[in-house]
Amino acid sequence: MNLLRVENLTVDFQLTEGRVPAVRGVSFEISSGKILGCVGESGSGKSVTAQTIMGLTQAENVSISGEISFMDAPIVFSDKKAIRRLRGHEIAMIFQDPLSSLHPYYSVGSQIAESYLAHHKGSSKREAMQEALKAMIQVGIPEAESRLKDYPHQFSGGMRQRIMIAMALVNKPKLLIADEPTTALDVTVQAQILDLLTKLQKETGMAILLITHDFGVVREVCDDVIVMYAGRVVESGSADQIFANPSHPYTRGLLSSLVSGEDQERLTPIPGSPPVLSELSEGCSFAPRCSWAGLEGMPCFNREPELQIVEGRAASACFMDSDLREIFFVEEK
Amino acid sequence: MFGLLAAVSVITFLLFNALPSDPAALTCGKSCTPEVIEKNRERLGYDKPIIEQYGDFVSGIFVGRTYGSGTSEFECGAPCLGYSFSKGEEVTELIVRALPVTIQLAVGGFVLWIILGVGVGIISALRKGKWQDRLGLSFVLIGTSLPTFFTGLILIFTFVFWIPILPVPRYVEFGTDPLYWFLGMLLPWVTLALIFSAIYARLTRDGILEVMGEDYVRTARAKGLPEGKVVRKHILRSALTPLVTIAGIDLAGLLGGAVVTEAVFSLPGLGRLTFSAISSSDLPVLAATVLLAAAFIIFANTVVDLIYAVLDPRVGVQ
Repeated sequence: MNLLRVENLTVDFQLTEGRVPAVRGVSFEISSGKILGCVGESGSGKSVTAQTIMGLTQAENVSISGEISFMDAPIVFSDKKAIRRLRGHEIAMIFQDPLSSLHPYYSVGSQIAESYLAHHKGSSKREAMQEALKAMIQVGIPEAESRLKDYPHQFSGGMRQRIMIAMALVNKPKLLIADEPTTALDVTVQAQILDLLTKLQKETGMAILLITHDFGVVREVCDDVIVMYAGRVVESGSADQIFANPSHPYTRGLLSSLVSGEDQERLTPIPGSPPVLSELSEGCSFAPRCSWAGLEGMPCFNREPELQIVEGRAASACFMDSDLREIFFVEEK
Repeated sequence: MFGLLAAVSVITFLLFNALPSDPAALTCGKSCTPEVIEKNRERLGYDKPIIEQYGDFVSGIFVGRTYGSGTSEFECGAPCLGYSFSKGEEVTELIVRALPVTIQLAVGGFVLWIILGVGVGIISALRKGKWQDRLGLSFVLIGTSLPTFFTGLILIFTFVFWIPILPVPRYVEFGTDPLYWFLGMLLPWVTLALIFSAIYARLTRDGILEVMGEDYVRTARAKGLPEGKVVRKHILRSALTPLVTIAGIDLAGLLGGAVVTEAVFSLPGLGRLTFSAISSSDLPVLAATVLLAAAFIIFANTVVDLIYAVLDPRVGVQ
């Protein structure tokens, strides 16, 4: 069953320097119980997409179009009450920096309890604290009971992210959106948090939308992947498929700039840098960095490629013929 | 805290006693003859070495002191802050009379400016860019640009003479006539509150806008909290805490004497006492009021630090 469906989502920011199209026609689906990885560089629109699902990007200078539906019911952004019932209850979110994401003046227990109380109106504070304690034990905080009244600054980075996860899980959401949950953490702690997330996912059966810029993270935990570039999905498919056989040159580039244990080869960076969103020209936004774009007969600089099925469930937004693609990839290697 | 206070007392004492003007010569005004000056010098102890004078001053505060000797001897009970020749009274008595007036003025103004300033600041921040915000910002601009003596005089002119709904400003004790007291204090409070509330409105507005961008506010929204609760519990709590520090010290500063406001409204408070001491070179009174004002600030600093440690758990109490 499709838990979350995003269709043709567009998010524009109206800033003083002009219109910034942060998300341009993004579509994807998450099935219940699955982990979907959303990969892309900074500014590719992945966080904006996630926050829009939560209704957190709403402001006067933001225009949103497209459709988001949760459990087959469309999310209506103007219905503030409905959004609030969804937030933190059916869909929970954790963020990149757990220290700044926790309120410095309240104890962690009370912050988790607050999340519970927001969606369990009849409950007492005591019950909520009990739930907070359970959640803290669930995410593996040692001596949770004695730490309930501690403040965020008294925890380490990894423990703080566990607190954030506990806060998200206290209401047993069906979908957890994790926006770069390991980026601000030490490498060793990153692995622990990822392990915890997959463990909890198996225990609770929730779905996870994991936003990251790290393909290594995706390889470790995700079932499916979407790759975003300049506000668009450029490739999507199952994680296995994409790792085995990436079809978009950008995905290819990301993968070859990944450090792998055995491979002692030099890393191949993608030349150039991501486009400035307010100054996008016609054509494929990846074209200026793509070695194929200059090839004869390629319309890359004239129009933008649509996402097209390549093979099975895998789809890619590239004009290159899929047979030729293989030849080029082999040549480049 | 006490070390700081002692240091301040040394500095004020030295400042006023090391001045080139002769303190004894200032005690008798027009009737001065060299003999009188010498007599007064001896009576007030100005003939002693400066360290001994300071010792007398400090011990006077704690145990009282005796001026002069023989027939001219008189007692100044603890806490003795000195003797004012131009007023012919003990400094302590002058201060005890003036301080309650200043406290009434400062505390009343404080309450008014906190309510007004924080209120305007909150509305401005939550309606950023809307007409409420523009109105709030105009208030800030006007409030901060008008000097106290000007607003004070304008208010008196408007509400006492032009639209006579308030009595002529004159200090009446609360016990004597509560209504007159209230009406009389109203304009001084408003005058004082206007400039401060403008500053506080700005601080509050900026504080809220800054906190609104914090990640933990986004977290609070992501939890599904109603917007009102996000504002009250998560935004205001963080935005207003730093104001406690500023408010405490501002209040203490005013307790040392609101010189201009007291002068405009003829309130017999510490500010006016200080002002008249300056114009009549009444050194003992000046030294005492300066010391008292410094003591208020030092005390407020300590109290504010303690309160802050309670409000912000990141600041531990040692």
